[in-house]
Amino acid sequence: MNSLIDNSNLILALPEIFLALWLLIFIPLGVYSGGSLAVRQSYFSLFAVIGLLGTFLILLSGGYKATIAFNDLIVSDKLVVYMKSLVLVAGILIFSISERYRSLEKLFIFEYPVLVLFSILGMLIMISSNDFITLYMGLELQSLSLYVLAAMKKDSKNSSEAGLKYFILGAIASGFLLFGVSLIFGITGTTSFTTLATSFSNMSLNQPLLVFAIIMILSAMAFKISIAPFHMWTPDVYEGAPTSITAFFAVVPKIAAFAVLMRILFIAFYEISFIWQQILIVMSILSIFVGAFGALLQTSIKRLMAYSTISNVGYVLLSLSLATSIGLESSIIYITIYTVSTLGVFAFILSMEKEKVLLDKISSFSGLSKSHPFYALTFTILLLSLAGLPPLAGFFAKFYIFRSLIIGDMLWVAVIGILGSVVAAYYYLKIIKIMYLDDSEELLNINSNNYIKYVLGFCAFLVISFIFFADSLIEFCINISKAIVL
Amino acid sequence: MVSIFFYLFAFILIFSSVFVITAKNPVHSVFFLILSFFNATGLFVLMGAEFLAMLLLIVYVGAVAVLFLFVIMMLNIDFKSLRTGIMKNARLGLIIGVVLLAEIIFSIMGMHYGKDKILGTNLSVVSNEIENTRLLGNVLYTDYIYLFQTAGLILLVAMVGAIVLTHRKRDNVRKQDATKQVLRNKSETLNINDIEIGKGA
Repeated sequence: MNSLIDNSNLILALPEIFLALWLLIFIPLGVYSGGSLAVRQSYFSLFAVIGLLGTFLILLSGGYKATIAFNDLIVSDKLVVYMKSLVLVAGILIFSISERYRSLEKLFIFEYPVLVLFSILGMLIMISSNDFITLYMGLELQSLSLYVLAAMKKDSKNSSEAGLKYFILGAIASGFLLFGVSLIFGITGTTSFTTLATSFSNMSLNQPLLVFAIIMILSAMAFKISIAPFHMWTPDVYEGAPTSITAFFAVVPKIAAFAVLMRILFIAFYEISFIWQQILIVMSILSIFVGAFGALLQTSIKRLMAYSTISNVGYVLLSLSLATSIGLESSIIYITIYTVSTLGVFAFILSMEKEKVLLDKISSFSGLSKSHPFYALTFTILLLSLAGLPPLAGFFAKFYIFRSLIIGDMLWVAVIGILGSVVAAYYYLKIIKIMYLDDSEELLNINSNNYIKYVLGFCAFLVISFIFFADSLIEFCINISKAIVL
Repeated sequence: MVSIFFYLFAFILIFSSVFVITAKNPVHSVFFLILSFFNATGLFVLMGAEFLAMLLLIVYVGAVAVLFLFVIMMLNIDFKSLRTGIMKNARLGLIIGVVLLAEIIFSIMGMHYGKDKILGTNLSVVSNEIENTRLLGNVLYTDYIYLFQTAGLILLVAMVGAIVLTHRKRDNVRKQDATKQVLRNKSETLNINDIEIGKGA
């Protein structure tokens, strides 16, 4: 009998093992601790953040070397370590910006941080998966926690609706994924990404069943990252879920799903890129336009951010559809910048309160430049970055996407993408106009919670100063993608 | 000998599943469902898949059928009204039935014609030397230990999630607190009054 539980295997899975054990300590601690809920809340968040920090440190101490462990089930390389770090850092920042909102909404129960940690654990498992079964397990762990988190506000009808909608559609998407994977297993006899890559290079590829299987898998993944024909749930879930959870939805699961999608497309299905390229191009252009036009008439900032997410993930998928090293590299850059800007935007949304109620209407931000110039200025910077104005980070993100498209002989697709981003710029600029030019209808009394202010300022600073460290980030992303695509 | 048992199990299976649909009393339907699960278990044992048989028994008879019984007995569903309008749904039912029949026919045909076309490798796991429970255990706790542990975490999330979504504090519910009951004294609860004879009402 081969002993799989030796050190080299365990070391590779150490971040996940640490986080899982931390959770197993967390649950009894939460159940048996006394004291008032409001006091305990901050301790629990601190405990969760320490767990994430510990996982992050263990992850960094593990090194970048490309290795496969647990009988081909999990993998570690530069892409995995980078994406996991992104997930963990974003998770820590979201914990710090959601404190204030949770005490406003009285979301004190300790299961909140527990479920957030569980979903992050699921994402870590997803990112390091080298097998469709590992991917499915991580995906289920992640989405099962997210369904519950979406329905967390039990007294709100919208929140329950969001949870139910997300659960039913997510379960169907999981079914699609399993169906596609079982077809792939029927065709090739394996579910491991690396073995799939070799078996595709040794067989005849003109099978209609293979196309069908890939469509199934891609549509399931498109659901998870809210790509256009499968985006219907996004605005409703974003609007209904508690806002701190919406912030989490908008950033963290997208990173994980894209990381695993990169691995599927560029490792497992790289030999058959002629099948998935066209599917991805159509889906991403569709979602760029759905995101751009859908957001035009929204009055709720959360719904607007949902459509903004849809169009942003469209750009990432567009550059992935190139199936080249340059495309992969520019999509990693885009995800990084998207994470920073969206985190900042949600830090802003989570601080806009009036008489202890969080504001959701865009029109209520009017006159913010006079009453709270810091918030208005930082939010403007983040919105301009999302709109893609030079010299902010968002411009470079889009620039590298279009550059990679033009290098890959897809000039027309690039032109269509630019048109979509022009439409999207309109609604970002509209918010800035409301903040700076409209007279204030109501006076906001923002609780100057320091965490949120710091995160907001930090994100805005990163977005402005991107040009100074752009070289090193881009070189880093090139290194990551070179390690994946030859 | 084996074929006698096969026909026995198969016939009882078919008849009890017919009774599941036709029985007037829904509780009887559930009992026939359990009977059909038992017979399916017998068929699996005959095929040498004893692990699947146990799983069917534990999961379907132990959990799902009991859940059905609970639903039927706890919820006050008017089953008479559910039975009306059978002709209205007959067309849909017929279509689904035809699709299912076609699927069965295709899969039987596929077994004869397309087996080597579809399947890339030999997937047979049934071996005569080692029983398949041991075989499954051998890979589950070694090759797939990572997935096994992850599945455990998923079940934990399901439990935590169910508690989060359903547990709520109710104010007007009297809770029994055993410690409190044991710790109270006679003087706190008993009040001895001296009442004259004939005046206590």
